[in-house]
Amino acid sequence: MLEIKDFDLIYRTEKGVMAALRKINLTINRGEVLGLVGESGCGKSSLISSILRLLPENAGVAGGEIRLGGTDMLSLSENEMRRLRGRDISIVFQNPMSALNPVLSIGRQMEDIQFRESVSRAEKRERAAAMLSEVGIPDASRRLRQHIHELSGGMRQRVAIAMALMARPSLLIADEPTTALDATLEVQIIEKLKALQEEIGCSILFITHHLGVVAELCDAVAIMYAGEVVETGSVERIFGAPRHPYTRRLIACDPAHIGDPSRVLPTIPGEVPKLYDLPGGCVFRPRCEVAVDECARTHPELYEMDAGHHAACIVARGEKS
Amino acid sequence: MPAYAAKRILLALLTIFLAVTLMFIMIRAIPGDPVSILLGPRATPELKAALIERLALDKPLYTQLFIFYRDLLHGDLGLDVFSNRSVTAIVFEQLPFTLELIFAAILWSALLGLALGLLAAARPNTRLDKALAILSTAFVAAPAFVVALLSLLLFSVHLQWLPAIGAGESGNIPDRLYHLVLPSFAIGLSWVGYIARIVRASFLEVLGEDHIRTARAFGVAERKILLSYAFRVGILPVITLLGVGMAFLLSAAVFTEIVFARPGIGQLVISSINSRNYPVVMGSVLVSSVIFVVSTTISDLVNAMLDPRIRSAL
Amino acid sequence: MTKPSRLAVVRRNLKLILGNPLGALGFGIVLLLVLVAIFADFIAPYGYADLNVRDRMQGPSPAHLLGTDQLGRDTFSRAVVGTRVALLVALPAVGGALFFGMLLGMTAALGARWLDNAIMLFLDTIRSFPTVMFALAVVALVGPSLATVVAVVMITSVPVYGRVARTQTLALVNSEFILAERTMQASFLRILFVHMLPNIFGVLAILAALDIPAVIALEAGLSFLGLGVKPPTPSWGVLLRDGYALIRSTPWLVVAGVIPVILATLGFTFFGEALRDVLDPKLRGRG
Repeated sequence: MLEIKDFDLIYRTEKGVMAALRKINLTINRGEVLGLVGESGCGKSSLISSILRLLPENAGVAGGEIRLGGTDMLSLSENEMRRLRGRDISIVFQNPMSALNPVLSIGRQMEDIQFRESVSRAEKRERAAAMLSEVGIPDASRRLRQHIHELSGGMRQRVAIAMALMARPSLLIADEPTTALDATLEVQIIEKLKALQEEIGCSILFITHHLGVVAELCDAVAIMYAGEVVETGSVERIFGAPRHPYTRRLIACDPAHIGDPSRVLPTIPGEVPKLYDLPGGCVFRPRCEVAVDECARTHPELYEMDAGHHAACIVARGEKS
Repeated sequence: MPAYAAKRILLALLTIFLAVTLMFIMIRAIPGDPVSILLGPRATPELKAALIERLALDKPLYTQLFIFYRDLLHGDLGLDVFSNRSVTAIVFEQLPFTLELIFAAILWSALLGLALGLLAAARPNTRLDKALAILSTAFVAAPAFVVALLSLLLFSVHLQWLPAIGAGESGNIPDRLYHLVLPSFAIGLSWVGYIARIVRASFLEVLGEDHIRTARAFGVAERKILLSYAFRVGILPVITLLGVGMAFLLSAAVFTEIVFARPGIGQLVISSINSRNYPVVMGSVLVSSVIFVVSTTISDLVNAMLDPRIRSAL
Repeated sequence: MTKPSRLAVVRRNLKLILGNPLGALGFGIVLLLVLVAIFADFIAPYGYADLNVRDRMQGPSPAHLLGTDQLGRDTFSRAVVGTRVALLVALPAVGGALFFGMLLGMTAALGARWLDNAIMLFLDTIRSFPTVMFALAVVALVGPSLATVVAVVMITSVPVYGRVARTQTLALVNSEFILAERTMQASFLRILFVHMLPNIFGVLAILAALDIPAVIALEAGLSFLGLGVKPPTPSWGVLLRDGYALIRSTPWLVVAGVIPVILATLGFTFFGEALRDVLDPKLRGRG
């Protein structure tokens, strides 16, 4: 469904050109849910913006391709891209309170995103109400007249999901959609999302801090670190037999709590390196416990560990699986 | 909305009530006896006695205050010291000239300020943006009466392009507009700077907000995003500024009316101060403060109409 | 991390202000005005009230850099001494407004609910008069003088400072380090003087710097209307008043009055904004 190949993204800043994303390789199959995990500043947001092609002005694509169902989105014109957004790819943003316009009613915004449909306003409104009911919002037609600040946190996120799924997209990007919610609400929203995904049959790129949510919802996982994908594989492989030392550290910090959806990403000593000051060789080396001399010289690629399980680590490649 | 409007209007009435009270206290608190001050140089014993009777100055203070309020509620601001005409009539005779000047100034400066601010917000941190920022700051810093004097010197005295004196013949609209050019330029100039700056800041902030990114992520047309999604939010601080700005414009109008010898409430106040016609001074000041309170109230109500967050905050 | 000394902080901030071309320009002008005000007697080539009827209403010449007025007084000397008057009004007025605003604002924030409401209502009432109109009402009642101008400017600016001081105090009261101090049972006075005052004062000082141009303009404006500083004291506004009366005979009096006013307002504005950007970028947009 979505295929990202050797994608490079740079930012031009006062400190010089920064390579924000380097040789990103990711694939999401039709109907698959991919969990994308990483610390703040690892490039998750840049990746989303790249897929939607909503990049800030100082960003530039330095190479690679991003294909959606076969077409390379990077070669589309701005107009063609705009037609894709909201129809083939949709997004649920992290904080629905700020992600919806504060002065326009929810109904108005849900009508506006149906600009492709040549049906009457009343019809659009009805469809919006139906969609709200579908995500579990009672009294939908009243909600349409309200504004986003008038709803509770859980309701806000349901509205955001309803908007994103309105056009039955083939790819849904969910950018930490449950971070702002408490644990019980999180479970409810995740379950709703799962049910809708099965019904619509879309693929989901699920970005999160919560390892527990990944285990719950996702089929496959990609781990990002400092602008690179360091490990990809099925949920079973990544949680059962992680190969990259960074993934291992993430999981090993507190294995007992995996599955507890309120658990946030554990912290690891040291800091994510600054993009304008990347170490040579492997980017994780300064924080790595198993690094060898070779790691400072060779930049690891995603090596195949098993069928469908890749990790960017020279040490792991040398180990027997 | 009705609840918010009711509260806001009640607050405005309270403010006016307090302003009136402050005025009363000021007149009574100054050293010397209020009768001589209010009557000025023509105070004869008979007139003094009449005024004491009318303002109930021989009665307790609270009775005086009550009479003061009662008169105001009837639109009675007292009598002109010299002509014995009603101050209300005199003030409302001059008011249209000032309002005409202020609205002309708001109109041109808001349009130009909005255009410059949007231009700067569309191209942030470019050379154009930086040049506009310096220009706006310079405009903001330029006092209205200095601009008035310089434009009088340049366009009226030196180049003789535009009239220096008066508001134009009544009834002759082109002539009146002609007389409005320089004065409205003088009081509007720093306003252009204020508006351009707040428009730039407000729209840059809005364009960086998440909901604009959401609208783009749903493929909503850029035109629609700018005109209805961003504009509706970005314009809110501008409306507040316009409401508060009425005080600024009323102040600036005083100087401008003097420099261009225009009739108006500022001219009225100054000439009344010079002739010690205190009832007219106080009446004009009160009316201008009421205008200011009304304009901030209107801008708040407009904002509440456009922004549901304000409505539900109360 | 060791705390840099106060001097080092001042030096670093000054460097940042001077690094911005407009800030440097503003700082230069402000410095120049202050020096001119202090050394006015040495700089002015003639006494500000020296009459010289033979050389009346002259244009600029080497003898009279900005010409002379209707009484033959040297305009340049009058503008130089006027600098002193402008700063003598602006600094005490802004300083006083800052002091009383801080006092009222902090009292409102820390005091009882009714006191808070009463103070805020009082400040809002003052604010409901357009500045110049309020000033005119006061001048009409008590008569024009330098002290009246200072008092009027102070009274009309107090509401802004009061409001900001109140907001800042409330924010600080709920901030973490004050809570920490409280749990450590620090005395109220210690919290007040060590933590609250410096923080609130910083924000208000920036507002004050941004306020000075308006105050200078207000003094010049009132003097221009004949309701501020009394002649023969040479305020810039008095220069402009004479210039306006004689505008059809000579442009030089108006020019001589306008130049210092524009220099002062631009200088203080550029300096104040650079100061704000360096010290507290959050305040941007409030001015």
